[in-house]
Amino acid sequence: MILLCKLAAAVFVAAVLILILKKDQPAFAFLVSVCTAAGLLAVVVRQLQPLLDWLRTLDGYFQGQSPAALLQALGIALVAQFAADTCKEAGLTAAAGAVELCGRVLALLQALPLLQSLLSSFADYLQ
Amino acid sequence: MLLVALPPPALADELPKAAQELIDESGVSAADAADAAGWTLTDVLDRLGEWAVSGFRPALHFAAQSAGYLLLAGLLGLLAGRPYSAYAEILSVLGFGSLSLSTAMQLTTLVGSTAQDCRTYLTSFVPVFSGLAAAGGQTSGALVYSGMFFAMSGFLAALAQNILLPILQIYFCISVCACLWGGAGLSDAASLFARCISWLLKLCAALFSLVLGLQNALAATVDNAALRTGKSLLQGAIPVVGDAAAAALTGAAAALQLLKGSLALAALLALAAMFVPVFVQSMAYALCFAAAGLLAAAVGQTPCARLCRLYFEGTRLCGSVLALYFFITFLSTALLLLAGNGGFA
Repeated sequence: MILLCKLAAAVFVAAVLILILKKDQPAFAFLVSVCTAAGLLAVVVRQLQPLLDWLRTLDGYFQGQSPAALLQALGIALVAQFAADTCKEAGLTAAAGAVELCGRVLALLQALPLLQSLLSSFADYLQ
Repeated sequence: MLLVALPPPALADELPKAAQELIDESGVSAADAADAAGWTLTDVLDRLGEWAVSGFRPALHFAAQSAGYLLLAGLLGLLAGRPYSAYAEILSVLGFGSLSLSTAMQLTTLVGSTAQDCRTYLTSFVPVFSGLAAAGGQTSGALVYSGMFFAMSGFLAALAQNILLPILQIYFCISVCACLWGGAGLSDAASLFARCISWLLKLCAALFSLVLGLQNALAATVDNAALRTGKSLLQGAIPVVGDAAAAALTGAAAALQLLKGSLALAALLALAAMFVPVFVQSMAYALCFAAAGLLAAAVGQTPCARLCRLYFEGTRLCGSVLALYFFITFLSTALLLLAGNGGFA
């Protein structure tokens, strides 16, 4: 709760700073916005680190690499979403679309090993 | 009739070599048999508890894996947000599909091997039981049992291994594809396979029950008539001691009926010991898939929920194949046991 209040306060300060800088120094306003978002993401990831470490220890309990693939896909989704939003904020709509496409392709590529193992299972069982 | 009236004594000091090899292969020794004779109700209940645990343990392990995986997938789907939650769904179906497919394939292999083990057991049991039935006056019944039933049990085991279980395996594979790609065509194909298996099972059950029941009823009538005729002939043809000879015949046939009953009961219990753990396991897996389906729907993993519903049907069909095989074996043995009354009526 305290952490959330601190984050909310930081975001409020950053918003005020951006509003002040936007008229005269839009580039610096953009930098402040990106740094604030990146900082918030870093705090969230640090909070999730113990959970991620615990999930990695359960890798052997689940068959195959499915939980690891899910976690990687989540990481790709968060980074791609952040990059796309940053591009949109800078007015680069085409770049935002390209980043989103990259994110989708990379997330789907995480499914490739699982799909290969499933298809090889089909081939084994049906022979 | 002379053989029944004056049975030759058993002079062998030890078992024949082939019988001894069979006993040695089974891993059961004379000491185990002696221990089994001293079992109390507590021992029997403990043994039943072991069967239940051995049936439930793999299913509980799978249930824990599925629950953990589905919760993780649901959580990550929520965190990813749109449009990435769709990709998280695809990944979760792939992962859960691999987990469920390997479990389902192991179950079908286990069902096939149980049916084959039962068939192997019947290979040694049927000649002994039908020989005993023939010695007890049920010649036609013994012929039906050793001929018709034995052939049908072999046919059913071959049908299960070569047709039913492979179709079931194809069904499981198509179910995963249907949930991955989401098209109506593959889902309909999976439902069609399930309906075909269900129809085949019902047809086999109806056909075999009708044929075996009819054959046993006719054979019982013939045997009873033959035994009554034999008794009447003895009473009428042999002066003075004809009644005593007929009574001796009745007594000998009754003793053999008692032995036959004990053997049939032991065989049915042995078959139940083979079938029950596997049946319990298949029903436990069906319950696990039903529960996993509810959990998947609760965490928003709709394709996984659909996969669980399809696999629930598949594991129920696995249990049905087992139940059919056991039912046919039980019915035939019980009919031969109950139909032969040695002409006492």
